[in-house]
Amino acid sequence: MTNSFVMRSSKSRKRHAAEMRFQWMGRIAIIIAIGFLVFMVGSIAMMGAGALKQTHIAFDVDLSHNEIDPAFPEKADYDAIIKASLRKAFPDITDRREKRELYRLVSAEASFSLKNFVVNNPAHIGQTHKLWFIASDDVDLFFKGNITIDEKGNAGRLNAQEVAWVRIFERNQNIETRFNTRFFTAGDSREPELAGILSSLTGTAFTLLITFLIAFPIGIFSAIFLEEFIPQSRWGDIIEVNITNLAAVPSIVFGILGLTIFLNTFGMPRSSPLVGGLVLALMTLPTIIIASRAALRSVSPSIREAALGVGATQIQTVFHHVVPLALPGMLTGAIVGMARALGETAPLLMIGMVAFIVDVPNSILAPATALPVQIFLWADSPERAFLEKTSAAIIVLLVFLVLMNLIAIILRSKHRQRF
Amino acid sequence: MISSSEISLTRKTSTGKMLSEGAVYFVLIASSLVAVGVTIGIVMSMLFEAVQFFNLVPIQDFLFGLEWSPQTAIRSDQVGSSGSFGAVPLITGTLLISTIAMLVATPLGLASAIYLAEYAGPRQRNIIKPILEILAGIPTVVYGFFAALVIAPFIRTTGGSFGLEIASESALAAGLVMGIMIVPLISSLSDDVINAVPQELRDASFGLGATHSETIKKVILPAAISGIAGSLLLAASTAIGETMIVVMAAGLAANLTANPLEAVTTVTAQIVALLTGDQEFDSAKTLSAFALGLLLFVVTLILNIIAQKIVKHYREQYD
Amino acid sequence: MNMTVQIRTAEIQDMVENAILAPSASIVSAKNVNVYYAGKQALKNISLDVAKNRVTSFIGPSGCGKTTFLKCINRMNDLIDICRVEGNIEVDGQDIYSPEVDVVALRAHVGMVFQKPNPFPKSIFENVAYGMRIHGLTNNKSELADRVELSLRKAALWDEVKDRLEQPGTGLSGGQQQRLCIARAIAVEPRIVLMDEPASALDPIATAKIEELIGDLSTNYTIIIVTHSMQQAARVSQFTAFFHMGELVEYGNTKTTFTSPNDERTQNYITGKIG
Ligand SMILES: Nc1ncnc2c1ncn2[C@@H]1O[C@H](COP(=O)(O)OP(=O)(O)OP(=O)(O)O)[C@@H](O)[C@H]1O
Ligand SMILES: [Mg+2]
Repeated sequence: MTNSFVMRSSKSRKRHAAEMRFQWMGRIAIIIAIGFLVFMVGSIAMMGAGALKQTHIAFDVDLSHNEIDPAFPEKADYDAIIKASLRKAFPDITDRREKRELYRLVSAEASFSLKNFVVNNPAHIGQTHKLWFIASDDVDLFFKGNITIDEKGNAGRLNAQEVAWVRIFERNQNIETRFNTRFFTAGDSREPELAGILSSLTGTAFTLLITFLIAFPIGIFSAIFLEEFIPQSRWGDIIEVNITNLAAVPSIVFGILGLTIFLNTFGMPRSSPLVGGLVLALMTLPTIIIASRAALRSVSPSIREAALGVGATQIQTVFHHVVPLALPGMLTGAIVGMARALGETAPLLMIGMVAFIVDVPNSILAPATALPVQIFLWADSPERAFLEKTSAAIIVLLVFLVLMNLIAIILRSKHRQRF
Repeated sequence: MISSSEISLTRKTSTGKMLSEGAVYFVLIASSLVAVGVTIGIVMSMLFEAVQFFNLVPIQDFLFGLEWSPQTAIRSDQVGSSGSFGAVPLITGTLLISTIAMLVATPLGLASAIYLAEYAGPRQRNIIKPILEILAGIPTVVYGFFAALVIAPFIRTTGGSFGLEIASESALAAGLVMGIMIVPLISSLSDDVINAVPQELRDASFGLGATHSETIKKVILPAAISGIAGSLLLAASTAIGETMIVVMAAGLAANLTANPLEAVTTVTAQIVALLTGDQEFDSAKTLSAFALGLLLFVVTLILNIIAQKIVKHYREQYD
Repeated sequence: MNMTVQIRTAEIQDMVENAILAPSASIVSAKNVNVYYAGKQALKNISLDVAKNRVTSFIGPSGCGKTTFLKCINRMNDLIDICRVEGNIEVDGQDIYSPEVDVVALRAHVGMVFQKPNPFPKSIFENVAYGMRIHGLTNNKSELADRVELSLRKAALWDEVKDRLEQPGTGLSGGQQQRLCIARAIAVEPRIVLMDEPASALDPIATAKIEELIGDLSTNYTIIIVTHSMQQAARVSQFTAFFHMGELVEYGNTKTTFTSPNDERTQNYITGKIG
């Protein structure tokens, strides 16, 4: 028995090995979870980075008087001008199929941007200008190196001939990538090279505005009533159970609620940020109520006693003394709830915010979509070029999420410092 | 008895104030009732349509039918024809994906929780916990995108190299990703539960010469088992109600199978499919979505209530 | 009840009178022990030898470091991150802070009973069997049952629980729970049992039972008991150490310590002037 506690036996070595294995299980679990996170966000960021750049190509455009009447520059057939200019750049091409392939190198948007250029610069009519245009999505993918040339010489949907033309543009330094402002300033489009997130981002902003305006006051009022006026009462308990259960209801169920109650019963406008905001507000309400109650609970009872002691009514006490102290905590809860609402997709699908929206919505009643729904829509698109748009939109979404959570963290730490 | 002077004192200060305070009370009460109203609204919004649906399709055919093909029922001669609205394949599909998710999330979440609660120092905790929370904060549409774009093809090609035929929308891909998503849910709830186990029990075990892992396995986990069960139930309910991952990464065709390598569809995916297209609120096809919604709501509600009861009871035990 | 206590007291008085502190018979030997909690010193230069198969009590005002020193002896202090131990403690002639020591085996050798009864939320049987199971002391079912019974008998609990071994240990009364914890500790056959105020949460009858038990156990085990009750120290222990503000002020034969203390602080504590 003496000195039996000096490490010698194989039994004790086994037990220590088991201990080490067990600790490593925990570490490995955490490494797997965090590794997945890094892998997922990292690969999406890598896929999305390309969307920040866009390929433009340049060629001489003949703005001759024959084609454009200086009196009515907007009436000209700019599509034909673009095509003619492209044919001029490649005079050898005579075959009709090849010509069509040549036209495919520039985006369909080229004629609009040429029209804008001419209408704004009528002095240039009659001259020949080298102008830059957005390249088509296939050229864009190829030129940015997202697609490699296969054994047949094709690059994605570009055939060997088109690849050769891109090389010619490249040799003449008539093709380059620029920062893709369009991604941030345009609405949705069927053409990947033209699609942007502004319409869905605006839709999200309108939706979250409604969510906040509805959920925040209702949430804090309800928290105040439950916490300050009917704590530990039967009614309070019933409502509290109700709220905890509501917090765990699948989000899609809120979408069904929105569909039948707001759209079908109340006849509110389908696809509108108003309805989207309402649905998300109801979904966020439990989060805000729970956080706000915690904030109220953290206000020391002595403040209530002091105010009641000098003759304030309970309502005055609560609104003049308790709520101001609890407000940062309540706001933090609201922001956390809003961050969750920001990423919600399923309920918005139910109320029709899944439409193809080109125009930036200008009111809470206009048809709109939201950023996460835009991601869902793009993820579903067959065009390869939407892949990087989807990833980039995800990164934008994540950036907003991080920002909101940062605000919440800062608010929370400020609040803590004060007490 | 109140003296007259007191009464006048009260009156003087209060007439206007009482009115406005009454208004404030009204607003407060009304706000508190919104949550109750929402619950009633949820039930009502699905109940009426579901009842209409069950007039067309008997409830037992819905709950026990083995075939789900709402598309065929759109033709008038087939409206309400039994067999097309059997929810069993959707339920099994939901359970299959949720089970895979739980099989992924339970060991990862529990092991993380144990490590965080028992081994990690405060510094490590302060770093690891928020990072894990990020997993829970990432929108599910992102997981869905990633599952469909990266995980599913990866599983398919990996399986292919072993000669396995794996569907491109396999239950495995959706389940795996969903599992990662709910890891933080399990880890943070179980972390709390493990921390609630009294320190005296740890001391007793260490004092007898148990190693830390023996203490965890033989004393702490058994003591925390009900609380952990509660957190697993909550996670399972989240998995069952999850929508975007399955909409994007699982199939749309009903398939009665337990094979994780095949494509299955789920209750939530069907609700989205049925309610995002053109809807006719008198067709069994559209109405069936509400029956599914009701089913989903009831099942997740029951799971949540049980879980909350268990966790509450657990906390009282160690208070 | 009262009678037993009186008889025991007389017996112990007898033992105390004959007790001597022979170094050869010491089982724990501490030299120049300093303990710090995050830089704050809790024990200052403690040196003391504990006699084998005797009962030694640690007394002193709250916060003077009794528990801290007790926990040094089976290295329970290792579990507190901020705690640092300096100096030398030998158990059975072996430096327990040397790197080749297996803490797990040390704690099997030096058992501990805590202030608050802390049975596991398991059956009475499993509580007692726990230590034997983790140390793999027996694989044989009937042997395990025998040893559980023996430990419960030694802890004077067997008669009260023999019909309900499968019921949860947490369902026993406070005094029974504490005896269960003692049974659990001695089931792994430690040589030393550390008891940190084992009776402080108990009523007088349960306390008397525990004290009686301590007397019985001291034939086979070395017992170190922390107590706030000087009567208890006098009743159960042959040796007494008085701690004050992290220092070992007085250590010796219990009777001498209580009747003619050397140090003024001991005198003051015993007469209730400090504490
Ligand atoms: N875990 C710890 N962290 C920091 N300081 C501690 C810790 N444990 C004990 N201390 C400090 O060490 C000193 C001695 O504490 P200890 O618990 O040993 O006293 P004690 O004599 O057992 O007191 P009591 O009679 O109240 O149990 C005290 O000042 C205490 O504050
Ligand atoms: Mg103590």
